[in-house]
Amino acid sequence: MRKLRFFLWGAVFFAAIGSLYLYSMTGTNQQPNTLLSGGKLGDEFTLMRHNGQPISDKDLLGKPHAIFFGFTSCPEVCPSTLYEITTWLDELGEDADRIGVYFITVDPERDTQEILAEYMESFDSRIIGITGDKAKVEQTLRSYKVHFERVELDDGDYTMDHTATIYLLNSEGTFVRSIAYGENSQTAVAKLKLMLN
Amino acid sequence: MNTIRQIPGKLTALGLATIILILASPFAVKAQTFGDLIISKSWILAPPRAAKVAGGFLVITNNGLQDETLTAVQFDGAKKADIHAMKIEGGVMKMRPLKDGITIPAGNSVKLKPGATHLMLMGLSVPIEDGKSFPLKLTFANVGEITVEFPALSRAKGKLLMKDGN
Repeated sequence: MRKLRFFLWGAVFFAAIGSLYLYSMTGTNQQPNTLLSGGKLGDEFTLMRHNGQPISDKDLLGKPHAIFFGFTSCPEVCPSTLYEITTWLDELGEDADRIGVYFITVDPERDTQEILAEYMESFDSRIIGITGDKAKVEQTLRSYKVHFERVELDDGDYTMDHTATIYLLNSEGTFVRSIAYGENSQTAVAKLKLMLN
Repeated sequence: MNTIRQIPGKLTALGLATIILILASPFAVKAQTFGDLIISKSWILAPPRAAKVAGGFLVITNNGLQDETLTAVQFDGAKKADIHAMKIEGGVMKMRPLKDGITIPAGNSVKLKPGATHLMLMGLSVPIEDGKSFPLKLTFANVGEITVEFPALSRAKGKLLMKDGN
């Protein structure tokens, strides 16, 4: 009996250590966005849609929306994510009309409205590309707590480090959850569907 | 009776196998051997319209007794080609040129795939369209310069290619 009690307390001890360990793991590996959970993101802005029309923060509010941040000189993560979003919207069908989907450039210098207009033709027409004056775009990115950083390459060229997570916000602009790069399509579609409820 | 019941199942399996073959065969480039190296699953993610960059991927197997290093990439249809390390750290995508190239240890494989190290083609002067194929020159420390065909694939086809065996 004593042995059993000893054994059980041992088990409790190891379970506690184990869960502490798991907790610390998730703490370090979580997207920084979990910190944003529940908060309103984004300030007032007026920028430009890829079709040349103006767009403001008011246009995003009023229905749940998904925002992805990237740039057109991005070899893989950005096009892959936009292609994935295209297949998810396809799967959602008409329901996708009830979600706003936006792609805000982190490289407004190179991503002019003309370039963005052509770029967006490769994806679902419901995805709206957003660019504009560099300072204004950067201010908007900061208001969404997006990480973006210009990285110089040796020959005068540059690339951008940037948040590669898709933000899902409710109709009031409150951050609800995110979709990570490479997340499986079923989970991503389920998360989008949750926004429709 | 049992055999008859099994027929629809067998037909479905056959159908699926055919579909997989049809999907896989037109775009998969056969593995190629260059000395001790085997190059397989080479492809370029067909970039969206207007994009001036594209990412190339491949699997390099080194069957030799010496470590091998991929030191440079060259593509006539791009102003510049580099080997880039890429990682997602805390939700942030970070990309850096690998100045010393990539080492493939003796007896090992290195997989360049979406979400990780890739060949970065910059300043594209030719349209990289799904269905077309492009020759890239790869320079290795031991084997020297080789030319490998890289078919341009859509995201969906590329995913399928990377999934299919290893």
